[in-house]
Amino acid sequence: MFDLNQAIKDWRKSLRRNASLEDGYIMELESHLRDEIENLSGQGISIQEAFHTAVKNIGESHDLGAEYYKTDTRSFIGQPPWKMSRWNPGLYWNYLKLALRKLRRQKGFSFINVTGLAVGMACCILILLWVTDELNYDRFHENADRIYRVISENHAGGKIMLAGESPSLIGPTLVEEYPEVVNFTRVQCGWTGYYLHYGEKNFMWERLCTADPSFFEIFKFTFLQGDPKTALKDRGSIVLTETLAKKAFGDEDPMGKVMKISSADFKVTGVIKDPPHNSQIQFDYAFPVINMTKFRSSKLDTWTYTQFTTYVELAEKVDAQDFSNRISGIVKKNLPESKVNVFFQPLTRGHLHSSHINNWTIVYPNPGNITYVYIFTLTAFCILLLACINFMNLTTARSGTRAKEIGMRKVAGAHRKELIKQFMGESTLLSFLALMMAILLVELVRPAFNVLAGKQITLDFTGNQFLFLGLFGIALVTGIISGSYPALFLSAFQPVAVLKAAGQGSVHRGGRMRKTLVVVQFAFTIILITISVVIYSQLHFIQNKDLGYDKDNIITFASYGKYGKSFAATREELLQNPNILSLSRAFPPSGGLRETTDVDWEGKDPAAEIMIYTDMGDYDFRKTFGIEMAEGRFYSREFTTDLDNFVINETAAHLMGPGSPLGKRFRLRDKTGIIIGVVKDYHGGSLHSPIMPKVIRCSPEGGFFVCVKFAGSTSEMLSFLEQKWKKFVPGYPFRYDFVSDSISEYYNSERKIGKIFRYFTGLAIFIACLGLFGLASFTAEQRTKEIGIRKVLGAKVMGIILLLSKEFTKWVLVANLIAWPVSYYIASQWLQSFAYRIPLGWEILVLSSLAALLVALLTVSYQSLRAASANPVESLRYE
Amino acid sequence: MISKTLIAASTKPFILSILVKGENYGYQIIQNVKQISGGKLEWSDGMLYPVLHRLEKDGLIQSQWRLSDGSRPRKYYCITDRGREELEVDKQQWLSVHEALSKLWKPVVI
Repeated sequence: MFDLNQAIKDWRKSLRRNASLEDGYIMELESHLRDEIENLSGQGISIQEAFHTAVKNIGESHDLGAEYYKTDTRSFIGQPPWKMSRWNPGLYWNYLKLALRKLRRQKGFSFINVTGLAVGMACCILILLWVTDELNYDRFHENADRIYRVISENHAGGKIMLAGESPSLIGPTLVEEYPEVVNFTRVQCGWTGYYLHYGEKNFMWERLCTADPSFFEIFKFTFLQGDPKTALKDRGSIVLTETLAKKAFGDEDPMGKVMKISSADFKVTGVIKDPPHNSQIQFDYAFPVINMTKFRSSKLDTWTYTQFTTYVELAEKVDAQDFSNRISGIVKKNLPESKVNVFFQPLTRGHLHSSHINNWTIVYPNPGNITYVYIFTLTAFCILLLACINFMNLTTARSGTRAKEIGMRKVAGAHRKELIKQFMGESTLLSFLALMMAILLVELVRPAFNVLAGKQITLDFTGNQFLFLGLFGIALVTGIISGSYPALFLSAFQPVAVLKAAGQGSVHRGGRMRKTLVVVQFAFTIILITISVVIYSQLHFIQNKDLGYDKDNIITFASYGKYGKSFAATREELLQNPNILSLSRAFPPSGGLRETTDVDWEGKDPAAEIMIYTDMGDYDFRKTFGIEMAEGRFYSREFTTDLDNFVINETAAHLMGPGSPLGKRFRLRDKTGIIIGVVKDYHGGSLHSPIMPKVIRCSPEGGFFVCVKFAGSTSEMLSFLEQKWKKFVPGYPFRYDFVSDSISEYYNSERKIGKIFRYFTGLAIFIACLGLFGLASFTAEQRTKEIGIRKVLGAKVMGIILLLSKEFTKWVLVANLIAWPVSYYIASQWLQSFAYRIPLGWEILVLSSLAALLVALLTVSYQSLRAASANPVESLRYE
Repeated sequence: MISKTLIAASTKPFILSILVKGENYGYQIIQNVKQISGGKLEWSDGMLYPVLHRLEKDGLIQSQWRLSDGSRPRKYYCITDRGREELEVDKQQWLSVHEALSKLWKPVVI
């Protein structure tokens, strides 16, 4: 017998299996069903048949459920309800919780991860700050991109010589004849030879900038007092920097006060802020260039006088390159016998692109070099990359421990996209954490770095949105790069495989990739080590190379006061001191090169144009500097004619052809005499350039410096000389130099770069080791059971250490293959800039590789040792 | 038979138009539609209820459980003011479609 109520009950039950159908819905459907059955049975159909028809008419519970599900879960953001919603705060909260939990649970790994990244970022930030600073030289002038320096190009002695100075008339002519040139100024900067007086106060060693009145219109130095347009208008006007004004006048108002320079009066017409450190033009006071015609008989209205640097300001929208080409022959046009071409160099390139300009380092003591900017930028990104590689390595290595989590997430319906988002987010979180640490680190080491690099770098966010955006970008990019590999790699796990294998086997998948990353990392480390070693040994080499003269124990000071006026008397008095071995008035050979082509000698090919360099000294020059004679004799007081004679060096003698040059006639500019001696070659100037053909001119009173060769205690000698200075040059402070110091100053920029490079190499090694350490500990942990079984079977501790280290050694060796050619290329390029250089043999390469290998082995050995000496009972117990 | 898409599209105006005449419950609504269309419009019965549910969620109709015809509980629906507005909009749209189509189908007089 058909029981309708029972049938309906069963039907209800079957509907309840569908989760989308709530009780209320079923109740309504039941009411419908009963109505239908009533209706149908009223038409004479049996109740059983009516029930079946009614159930059929209502439809399948599956379809009904789907319809209800759609209405119930309709999304408000336009996503179809059966798709996962894009915004799922609960899930994000869960991600964050998990990321923090991982950080806490794996303290060691998190530390290595974040620290490595932070150190890498800090390096990168520091280097980029350095690079930005280098690139921003002279950009503070409002029209910096329209200011150009006139460079003269002289073909002489078969060589192209570039000079930063140009004929005096070039500026005025350009402004007069070409509408493209708006303004010009002639400048001579950095001269410290004048005494500046104000009342009782005397100032020496202040740097002068002498220039045309338009100087402050072109160069926008900040005026604290006075008007830039008129400050240098009058002949007797002077502009001081803030520092000098304070020193000279204290709290008084400096404006209108009168200062004296060699009995000429100068009225203060302006006070400027000290030129910023990133200005090529550095000075303490400025006065109009017209004064130089009197002070130094400079000529302002001739094409033949070339001692001024000319800067021009071009009109807007002038094609400087094109214009520079058009005026390149302007000197020849006005001075037919000249061989000088000129061209424009943008002011903003002056700091970094001038290393090929002659005597540049003498004029400008703090030169930059664009090559270093490139190398450093590259280094910065490589170090950052290194840190990223570390991060990727460690994260993938640890992925085994997260395989189960990923499996569960996938089973619970996580899409791959979600997982990628999760891991990217996690690494970005860590990288921002690292960024915070990096900023702290940068702030901590910044003072030391500034001393090291000779800069005033600040990490100032308020005025520098670029820096802020840059840092943000670095963190984001680092996070994404670091996260990308783990994200893509981890999210590809097959949940079935992962859950079945209990999360063990799957980690081996990343092995090859990890090895490649470690190889790249070590290759880069070896390159850095090699380059640092090369820089270090080259600097060591040039500073200890025998220069051909004695550079030690020689003090030099300016021949002011009585030293200038009555040198003979002061010389006698100084020589009373038995510790003074010799004394010479000269330009020391360390002081740079003065060259001329205006020379002639017996048998010289009249067509040949030969550049000869000159040194100048008195009779004791040779003795004081310990220069040896090759043949003939040096100048002597006994021969009065020696004032017209010449002593040359071996290179010059060689240039003059075979046979002894002794007794040959020789002309230097307007002086003609006989060659009386040849000195053995010695290196004047820096070792960037080879030994030049040289003439030593005899000039008992012409040298600007007094050079004292002494024996015994340095401090006693200094106090003796200071005492004498007070007597001979009263009222002025005693300033001196050691010849050995001025020689090492030639390599200042190389030394600075070398030091910075060394520190960064150290940090790079640290980062690489951190990564290796983490990886080694992970490998050791992975192989705990294997090691246990090996030990049970009789393996020795040593054997196991070898087993574990072998793998890493292999990687480091492979890294060498990449590193060698690259580092060889870079190092030899750098060495090209020196005329005298160390041979770049295989020893340096092998040495750096061994060093890298040693460091790697030491890093790995701790973990290997720990794993090897573990008790197998412990590791196998839970099997 | 009328196609499924057309039925699906017209369900809402049908329900609303019926409810405008007074409150009603699911089974009766279906019967009304069948009657009016002369059996040409046939809904699969169960599918009406999710639609009613949706309309209620959208605030076009309201429902109430009530005991009627003795002891059987029934869920009665009545139209809201928003429902009336919505129906007016729907009506205009259907009429425009109807008008356009009838113009096209008018026999052409030569």
